[in-house]
Amino acid sequence: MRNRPTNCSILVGYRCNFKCEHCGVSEKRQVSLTKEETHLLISAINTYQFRTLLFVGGEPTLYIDKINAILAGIKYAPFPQIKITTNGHFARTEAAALAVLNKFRALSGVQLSYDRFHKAFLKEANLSNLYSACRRSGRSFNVLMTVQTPMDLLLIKDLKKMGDFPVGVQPIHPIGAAQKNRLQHIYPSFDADVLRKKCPNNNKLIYLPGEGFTTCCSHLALGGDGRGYVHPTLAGHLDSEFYAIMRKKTFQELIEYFKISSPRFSPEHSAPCAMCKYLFSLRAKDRKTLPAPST
Amino acid sequence: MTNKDKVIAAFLVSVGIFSATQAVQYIQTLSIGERAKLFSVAKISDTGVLVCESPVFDSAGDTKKVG
Repeated sequence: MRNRPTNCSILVGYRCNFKCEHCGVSEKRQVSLTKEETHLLISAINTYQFRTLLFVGGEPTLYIDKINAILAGIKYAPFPQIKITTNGHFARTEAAALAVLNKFRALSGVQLSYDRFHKAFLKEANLSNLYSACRRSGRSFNVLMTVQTPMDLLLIKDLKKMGDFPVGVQPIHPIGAAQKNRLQHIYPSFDADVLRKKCPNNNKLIYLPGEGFTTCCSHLALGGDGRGYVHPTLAGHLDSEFYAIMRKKTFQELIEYFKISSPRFSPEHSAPCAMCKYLFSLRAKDRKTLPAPST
Repeated sequence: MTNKDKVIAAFLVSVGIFSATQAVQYIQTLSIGERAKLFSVAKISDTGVLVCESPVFDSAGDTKKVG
């Protein structure tokens, strides 16, 4: 199990009480973890002994019972770091925020999704309350900000007034609701440096309910049927061709591996996820079918 | 390109949304007012702003810190 991923994200369910127009997962079907999947996840977690588990959605605080069922099954030490990515809807007051955070059997940190789009649903007070509740209870706190244009970064000024916490920035990828609403980060030109890069998340894993494990958190897994990219068991995914090539190959090497002769790049392919989607679509077109699952 | 433009460009590259070339191209499309706004954010964001690849992965645990 050398070089195995040490972090695993678990998408507990797709239900959310916000309807953000840039959401990458909102168009997926309304499913959540079944009891069978919970048992499978507990077994995989105990086998691979991840150092960090991140629960995401949807909105994970709508699934606290399901998360606690998984946490109750963890049998190794040290206990992994447990984090959630939340929209912060419950933090109407600091006490209300703390009450929800304390419902988790274990919770070491909170990532709050907050940007121009979430701002339409979430009051600034919720952010302050959640930050205070995390500080008071010794939990880490950071904000994830998705941007369509660099001018969206102006919101950082407001965040910096609220506290000294890390802010993560990511461009919008055109999947899910973002694709439907024609939202994506605009690049002024194609950046050929992307060809020298590998998938930035190739050492991470996510479990998608009703589907399985994958390293892809973008187009291939969330934008289609996941065939060949998502596997019902973790062992199956780690043994797959998809996992192997994403771990090892740069995008330039993928072009050579797929025997793509004349790719045509546009500015949007500067984003690794868009480049990846493009190359796999060319390969599928060449094969006249998607690559078959290896397990 | 002014020193302020260079600060803005470095900021946009550091948060991972543009390459250096793209940042320069983008800044050239901005008005003086827009440049001033972005410069003010860049000044206060020299620490604690991270490159994040996905909201479904842990961005605070293993991404590089800028600044």
